Amino acid sequence: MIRGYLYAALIILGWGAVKTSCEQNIDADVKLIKYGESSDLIRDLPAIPQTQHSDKPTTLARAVRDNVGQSLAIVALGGFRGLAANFVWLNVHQAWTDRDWVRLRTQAEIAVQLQPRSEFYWENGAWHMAWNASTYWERNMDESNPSRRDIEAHRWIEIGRDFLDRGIKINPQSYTLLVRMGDLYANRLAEYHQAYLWYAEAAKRPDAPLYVSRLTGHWLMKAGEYDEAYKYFIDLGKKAIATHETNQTHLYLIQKNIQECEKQLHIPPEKSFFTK
Amino acid sequence: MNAIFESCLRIYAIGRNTFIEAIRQKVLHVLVVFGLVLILGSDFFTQLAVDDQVKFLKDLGHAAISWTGLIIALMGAAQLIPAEIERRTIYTILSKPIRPGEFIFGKFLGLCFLLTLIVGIMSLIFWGVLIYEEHQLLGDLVKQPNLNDFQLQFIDHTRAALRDPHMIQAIILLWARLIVVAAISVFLSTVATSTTFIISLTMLIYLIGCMRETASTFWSDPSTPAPLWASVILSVASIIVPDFNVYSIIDEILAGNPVLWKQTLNILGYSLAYVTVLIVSASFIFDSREL
Repeated sequence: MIRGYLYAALIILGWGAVKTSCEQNIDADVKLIKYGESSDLIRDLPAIPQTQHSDKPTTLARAVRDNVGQSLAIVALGGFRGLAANFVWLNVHQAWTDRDWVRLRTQAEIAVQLQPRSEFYWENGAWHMAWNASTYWERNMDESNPSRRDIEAHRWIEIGRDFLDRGIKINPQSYTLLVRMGDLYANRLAEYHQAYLWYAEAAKRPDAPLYVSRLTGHWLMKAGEYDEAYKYFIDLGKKAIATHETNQTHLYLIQKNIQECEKQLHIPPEKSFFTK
Repeated sequence: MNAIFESCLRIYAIGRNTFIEAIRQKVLHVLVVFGLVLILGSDFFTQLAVDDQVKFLKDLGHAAISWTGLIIALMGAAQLIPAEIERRTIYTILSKPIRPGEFIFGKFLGLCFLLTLIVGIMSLIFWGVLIYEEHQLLGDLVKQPNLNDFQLQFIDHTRAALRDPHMIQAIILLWARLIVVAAISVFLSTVATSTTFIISLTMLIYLIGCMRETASTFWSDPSTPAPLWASVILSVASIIVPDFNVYSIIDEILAGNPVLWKQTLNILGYSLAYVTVLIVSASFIFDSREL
């Protein structure tokens, strides 16, 4: 009787010794898929200033232990992280409705730790922080001191920007997150040259829609850099013709932007790009 | 050669009988109906998700198939051998020229047929729900003339998420996870006789397998150094317990992150190896057991 158990124990222990290296290989693949890879794409990203709000990501185990209930932790750690992240995101939505920004930030942090490769959580989390929380503080008349309102509003923009920056580093292939960073610089910080840099990076992604390349030049114009914008739109137009672009709206808007640049640069009609 | 072929035939015969016996059980029908209600209801639950409805739907559908499959795998596998012993039908089977190992392999094969059928049916229903959701989300929009860039982008994005061909990889991995759980349960049922004990212990092993990596990460944090007992438990768990964390890439597939077929096949190979080790070990134990 003992012999059968002995054989079974030997097989299991033998497999246990072999499987560790096999598990390590698979784990490396899984981690790559779950947490992204250190890609060359990150090297080319525009830098953002380091702030005191830049969070150091904690381990999932710690974040879950500290911030979510027991039942959700079991769901998350029991192999259903995606589902748990969805339910955590419902808390983010509730916190937004309640205007409880600190809870919103905490819950968004858990959602992105559960599924760091889901662009949706980074994009919308940053939007809640840099737009909703920040605008709330700009207009919060419960705070009588306008300087304090401004400081708090700016702080939330920085929190949103740092959050989005972490998302971009984990998902450097995503044009959406790069576009959102550009939007944040343009619409929340009025730093149009920075917006141009982020949009230019987004336009390099193969799945980026056409409007991204147009807006890249648009931000140059907003930054007052008409020379650069003019060259950019001419190149974009030539590229569209070379690739036989059929989208008439895209071609028309490039043409309009070139005309606008020529007007701003006082280029006489005889020297216009269209005359040439 | 002929002996191997005959052995395969005997394993197949036991597997077929186990499968037929299992699909006649009423409790199985109830569980399948429960799973289908969950999948169909997932469309209702997506109303809760104000933002990313497609991801919510896909995660809920996956959870419904997984949970139903897990219950069936646990209950089905845990009852395979104890029920035969209790009903004394095992004596009739083993009095024929059937080796105990063939009996275990056959029983497990029958359970695999059952799990394949159930996962297949539920996946087809889930696919139907995804088609319905696409119609709900895009039905009116695609009929509109002159769509702008953003509307076209929304249509493309939603269609890509709902018709993602990588979902097949998720379903295959989900099935592999269930087969490994079933193999653990079959292995334990050759050692223990109580169904409740087998189910509880399999569930515990499953949870340990899922949390192994998290525990390692937690204790490798310098601020929380692992005590000696924790290191010992972790080492033992890493030798005996399967790493169920490898199946967590299912969540990434559902979230739309591309996973290569090579990576899926690696995990399938790992699952197959684990199942073989467990079933061969179970056969040795069963062979030496006094019934």
